[in-house]
Amino acid sequence: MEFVTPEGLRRDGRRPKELRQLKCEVGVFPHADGSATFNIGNTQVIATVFGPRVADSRGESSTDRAIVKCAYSESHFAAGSRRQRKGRGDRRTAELASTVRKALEETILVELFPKAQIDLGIQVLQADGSVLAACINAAMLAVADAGIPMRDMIAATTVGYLESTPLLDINHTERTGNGPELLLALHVNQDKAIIITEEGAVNPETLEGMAELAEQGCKAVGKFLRQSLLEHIQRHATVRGLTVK
Amino acid sequence: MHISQNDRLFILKALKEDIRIDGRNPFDSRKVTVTLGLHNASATVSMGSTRVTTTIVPVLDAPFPDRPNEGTLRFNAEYSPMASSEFEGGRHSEAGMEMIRLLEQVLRNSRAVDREALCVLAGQKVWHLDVNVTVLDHAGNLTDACLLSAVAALMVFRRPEVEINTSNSGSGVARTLVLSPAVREPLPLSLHQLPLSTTFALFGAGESIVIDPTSREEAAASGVVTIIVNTNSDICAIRKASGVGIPLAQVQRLMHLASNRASEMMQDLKEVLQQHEASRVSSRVRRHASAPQQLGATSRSVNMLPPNDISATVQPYQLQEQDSGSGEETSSGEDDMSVGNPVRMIASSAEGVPISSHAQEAQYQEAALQHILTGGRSQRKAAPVDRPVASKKTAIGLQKEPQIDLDFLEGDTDPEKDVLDMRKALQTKNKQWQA
Repeated sequence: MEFVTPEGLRRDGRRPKELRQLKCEVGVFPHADGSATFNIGNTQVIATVFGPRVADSRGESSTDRAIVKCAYSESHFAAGSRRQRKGRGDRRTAELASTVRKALEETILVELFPKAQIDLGIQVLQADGSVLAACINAAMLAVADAGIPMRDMIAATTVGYLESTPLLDINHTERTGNGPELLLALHVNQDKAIIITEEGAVNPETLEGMAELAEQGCKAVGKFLRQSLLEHIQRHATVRGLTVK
Repeated sequence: MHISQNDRLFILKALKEDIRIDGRNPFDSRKVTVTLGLHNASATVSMGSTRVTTTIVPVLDAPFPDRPNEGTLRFNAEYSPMASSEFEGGRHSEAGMEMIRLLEQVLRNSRAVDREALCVLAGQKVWHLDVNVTVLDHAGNLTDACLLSAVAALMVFRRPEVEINTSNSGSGVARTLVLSPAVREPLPLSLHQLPLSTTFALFGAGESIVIDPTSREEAAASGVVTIIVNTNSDICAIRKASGVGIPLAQVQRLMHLASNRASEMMQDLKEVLQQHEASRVSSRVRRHASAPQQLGATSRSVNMLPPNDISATVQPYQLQEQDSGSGEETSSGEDDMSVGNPVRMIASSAEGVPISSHAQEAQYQEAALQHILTGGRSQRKAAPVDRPVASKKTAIGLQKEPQIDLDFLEGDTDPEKDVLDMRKALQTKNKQWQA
């Protein structure tokens, strides 16, 4: 399959360094402390946050910080074919959940809430590539909506490498090319990488290029997330008759 | 591992002066030792006092329907409670799961192992390799130790040769015959670009970094980065799934360090493999310590038929010092796996009697001769009696065909005469042993 045409267009018409359309909504579930949806192209994720609240079990809680728990689930209809096999899927699911949890643990100022627990719920409605990145972004929005203080904004994106071209934000079709794939979650203001996972053999120079592109991608996503949060706050302020500059 | 606050502060403070609690420099690794099993299926790695062993078990079974001509690799990581107080027995821990995922990713999904070469008969029989990684002692940096031991085990692993018999299959189902290592030298896997990992621990806000952390350092660390580099010095995988943030420029530097370390480790691993190969070949040559030199293979009599002649003539038989292990892996197969070890022994001594002395072996040989004389020809198809276990030593198969020719079995010579000759030879040999 040809993933990049000679004109430099990808299968869905994007340029190699182009993100898919970003869309998000903050505060979608009134009963949750914080909630958000995040769409990037056809990938759709809902995240909810409950807490911080007293930890369920004292054994798990920590005396100097809050613990973060993450329940991740992927809808049966999320991917192209209805999911059937469970065994391997669950191992993958567990890993995704733990990655989202660890990313947020590093972002939330957990030391402000000793003995507390913060519950994250992630539901993937549609999976069309860059799912984990979308989950991290959605979780960040939900945590922000819950008013939990964070160290920095975290934003995530993926970069693939097919036909000697680094491709930003790869979709499901491009994943089937089985090229190397880099996921980067960045603290955008501090410029520090929180999550880096790379799969597939790639030479170090190429990877350097991919990482740079991913960094730019994360910053672009971060900018969008910040903008959306500001808009959300402004709307709230207007509704309540407050004025925000 | 939980460490006290004082311990943690001590480690951090020492690191500020580039001193590690075990006296290493920040970018010194611990000594790595790889021990390979002579039975070609296991490797034990120790890094300092971290010890991990990997055993590979080949299973001949039907392939998955969607990939009819590919074998499979199944990984299992056992973080046993004896290795560390952190590990609970029974179900998989999160860490164990992540390890399995990592092994799958870098050894299976990256096509480091040629899975099509594991196909025996497309759509019917392929080799499934169970790669069992067991942590024996957890003293830090399990990722590197587990991956190295898995890679070493894959490199040393040899699968038995299989003979496919399509001629006598009326039903269209071919019979497969797993040949024991004594008959046909087992085959190594075909491997490309093996990955080796290097783990770094980050401390504080990422300002100090050490390579190959111990478990105490891991407990004090604020993050871990693992970089996996293959023999092509390509980056195979990077894992930084938790912990404190790190600037991307720092990652580049670590990639460079990891790449150097991986090539060093691969060099060492290849040396170990070479030594292992030499010892394996030498241990295949079997001789009695006490046997006189001139009683070499030729005077050791009658023992074996060349494997090629098996179908043409009689059920083969064999006498050898150590073959207890050669059949045990294969003989308990399913029906259509046929005989595990086609080279069998015809001997009528009581089963279960351990054969240890030369005199007893001579008895066996005598019995074998008797069998040829009396019933061997008329009962060619009779199932041969398995030889009782002679010794507990692991068998290393004979590669070469025996040098004795057994043309007396072919009919045109006089068997009686040949046998008499051999009996004489045996008697002299016995005397020499007794002397």
